Amino acid sequence: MSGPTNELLLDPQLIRQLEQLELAVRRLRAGRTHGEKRSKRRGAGTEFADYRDYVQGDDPRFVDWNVYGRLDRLFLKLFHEEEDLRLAVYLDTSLSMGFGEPKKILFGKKLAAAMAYVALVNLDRASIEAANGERMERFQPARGRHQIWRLLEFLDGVKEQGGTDLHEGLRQFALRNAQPGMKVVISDFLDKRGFSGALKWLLRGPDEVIVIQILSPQEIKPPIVGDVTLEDCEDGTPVEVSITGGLLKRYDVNLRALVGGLRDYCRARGLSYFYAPSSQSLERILLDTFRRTGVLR
Amino acid sequence: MSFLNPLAFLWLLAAVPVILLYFLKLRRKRVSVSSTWLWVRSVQDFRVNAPFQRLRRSLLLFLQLLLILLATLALTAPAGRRPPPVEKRWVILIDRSASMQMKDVAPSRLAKAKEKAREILDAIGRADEVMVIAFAHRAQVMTPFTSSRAAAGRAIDLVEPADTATSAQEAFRMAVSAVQPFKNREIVVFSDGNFEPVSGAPEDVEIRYVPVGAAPSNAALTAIDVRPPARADDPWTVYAQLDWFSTAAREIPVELYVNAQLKAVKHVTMQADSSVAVLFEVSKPEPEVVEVRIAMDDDLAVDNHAWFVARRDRAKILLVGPGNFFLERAIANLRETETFRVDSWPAASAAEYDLVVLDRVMPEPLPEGRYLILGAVPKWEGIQVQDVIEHPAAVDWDRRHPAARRIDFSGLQINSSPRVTLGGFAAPVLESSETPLVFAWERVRTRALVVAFDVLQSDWPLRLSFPLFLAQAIEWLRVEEQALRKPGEPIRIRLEENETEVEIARPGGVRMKLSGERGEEVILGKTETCGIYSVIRNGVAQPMALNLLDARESSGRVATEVRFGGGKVGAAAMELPSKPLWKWFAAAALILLLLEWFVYHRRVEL
Repeated sequence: MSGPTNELLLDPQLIRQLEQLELAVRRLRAGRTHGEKRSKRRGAGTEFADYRDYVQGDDPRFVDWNVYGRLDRLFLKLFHEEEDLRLAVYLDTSLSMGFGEPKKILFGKKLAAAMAYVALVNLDRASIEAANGERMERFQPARGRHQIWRLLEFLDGVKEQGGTDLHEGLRQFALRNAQPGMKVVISDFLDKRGFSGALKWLLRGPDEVIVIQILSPQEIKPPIVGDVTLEDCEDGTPVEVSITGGLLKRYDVNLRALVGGLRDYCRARGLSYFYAPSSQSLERILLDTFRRTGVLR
Repeated sequence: MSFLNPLAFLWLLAAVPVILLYFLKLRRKRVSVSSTWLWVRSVQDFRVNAPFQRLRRSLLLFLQLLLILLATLALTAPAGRRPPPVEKRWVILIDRSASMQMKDVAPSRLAKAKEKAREILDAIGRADEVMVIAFAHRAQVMTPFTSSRAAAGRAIDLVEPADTATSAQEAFRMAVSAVQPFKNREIVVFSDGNFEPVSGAPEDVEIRYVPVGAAPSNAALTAIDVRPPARADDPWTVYAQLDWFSTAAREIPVELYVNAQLKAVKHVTMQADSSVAVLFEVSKPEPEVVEVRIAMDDDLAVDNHAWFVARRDRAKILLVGPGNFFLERAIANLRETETFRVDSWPAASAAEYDLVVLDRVMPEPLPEGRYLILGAVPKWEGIQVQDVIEHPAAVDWDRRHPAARRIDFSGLQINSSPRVTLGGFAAPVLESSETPLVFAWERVRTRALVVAFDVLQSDWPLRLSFPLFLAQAIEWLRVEEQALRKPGEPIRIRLEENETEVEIARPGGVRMKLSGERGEEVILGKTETCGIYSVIRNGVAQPMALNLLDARESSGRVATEVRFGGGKVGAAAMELPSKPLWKWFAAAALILLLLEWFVYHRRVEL
């Protein structure tokens, strides 16, 4: 914890608290290497899972000799194999994420760093893709606490740019992370093409998908009044409006429709949805909301 | 519906800046947002691309344009189906006489009167028509009835002051006859009221008198006379009447100029509202042009000078008759005269003499001229000679007549006199109980004094009154040519037999030429300025003096009421027709609205 930027992303106290946590998956996922997560796969774990008849070729070390003594039959003890969890974070880095005070992308980075840190300290694999409609930067899957420095360095180098293309971004993300695991999507979901087409790519596997929508206070309650030209920070599209109380109400209704629509979409498809204003404290969402909803434990 | 003020539709142009400002509004503040996507959904109704859609969508702009339209309509003074208001005829009478040059109100009474007259122009109804008449010694129509405010305004501007006395009668008669055919009419008089009461005003004509002026302080010369010495060694006497019209006493310097050279200065201490005779004596040079001058600034400058042209030429008197010892002796003793006697009437050369004395002869016809007729009665209009009255007794005589002044005719023995009936142009000077014995006749340029009886058939030549009468009669008959002229009166100049034009030098040195037929009269009409007018012949100037010498004008008192016809018209406050102030308010509202629009945008841009 030495660089000033890194301190911005994760402060020491939060790190200490995060070290007590681990990612919780509702469904067992099969990892590639042994880890600390109980896997569906039976194997060399410590947690008993089941018995089965011995067949030729089985490892005689797993024969339950006590049962053989009583029943005179050979049974094999099966254990839940403990595997690692693959955490893949998709961080939207389009220009719109650079909007707001505090910036949405900073909040997203902090969330990504915290999630990844929890994964790394628990010997899970964590990878981060910072992507927008035009380009993608990837923190390759890594394990181990020591990777946190590299990860923070990576996140520090991520800058907001380009437009939003969740559809293509998540398609690529899903393809690259085909193996099951926990997938976290951090975005403002302000995509003119909508979100349903993009999120459907994450519905294919048995993944634990967590959708975090970040909005800035300036988007939730726009501090604009009068006749202005609104300029889209991504494509520069100007919109001339006379902002009045009535229009702000309509904006609020539309914003609620967007947030509610995304939430309902996620719930209906077993995805975990979180609404996170960028002004909210990171501790609250990590230590309170995520623990309450079983994302972390 | 009609519009009384359709020009006000130009106010609709005010919509142009509003719309321009509205389009300038496009340069509005640019605000960067993360995504316009949500906004687009919210403002789809507000989103406008075409100008007319913008206009359609902007309620504020529409309200403002509507307001401009309404305000403009209000300014156009729309009139419904009601008949238009009855137009009124106004006659503005502006006094431009000498007293209106008083500076007791700045810059002068006339300027003030013109200003007030223009205020009327601003206030009267649009359908009204105005006539402007300026008056001083006579009236002058500056403009006939016109509905053009500009024309009436120009006419008022053109009113120039005159150095003359005031006669309102002619102006008033013109005004009354001008408004006579109209029902709705008013005569407004801007004056200080220094004129004789005006007669002949119909009762139903509304007259308003707007007095102009305050309380002046004015010193004035109201009379001047220059008397030649009785004896050759004596000095000439210059007499001037100095009037001081003010409520404060003051010492006034009076200067005497003889032939343009300062000869004497007198400081006269004047009490409030007093009048003093100032006398100067002049030995040399022999006065030709005498000027008395008040050497101080007061409210009226024109009466601070008085000029007098001393008579130097000898009167040429032609005596026609069979011979009369007494008459010839009496005339020969007169000063400044040159007498020629003939027996019979010389028709051709009669015009060369200043005065013709006809003794018991009556040539027919008599040309225009000056005549003293003795022992004969001319057959002029209205004069009828009947029978002869024996021993008529002189019982009455006109003591105010210049020829009969200080003469006692009582006890005059007359053998006989014809019975004469006088017409309109003759006035009896001496009368018996039956008939006029002596009468004066004045018509056009003929002036005559007729003694109807033969003086040799009476004891009159033996009386002292005879030479006295002759002297005064000749003085009266020839005095007119040299009399003190008033400004404004035309000057008649008879051309010599060999000349067709004559050069005139006006006060201030301006020279002009008058031309006419040989031997005929030419008339110089532009004599509204006081001063010396000279007729120049062969390089020799023959001066004539025009003086105001009018105590009424010089007093500058402002009459609080004037008499028009039977009734008095008091000083009226300038109660003008109510000015439509709402126009100003509406215009102010319009400007305020533009300001509001501007400020509104400035606020958003901040």
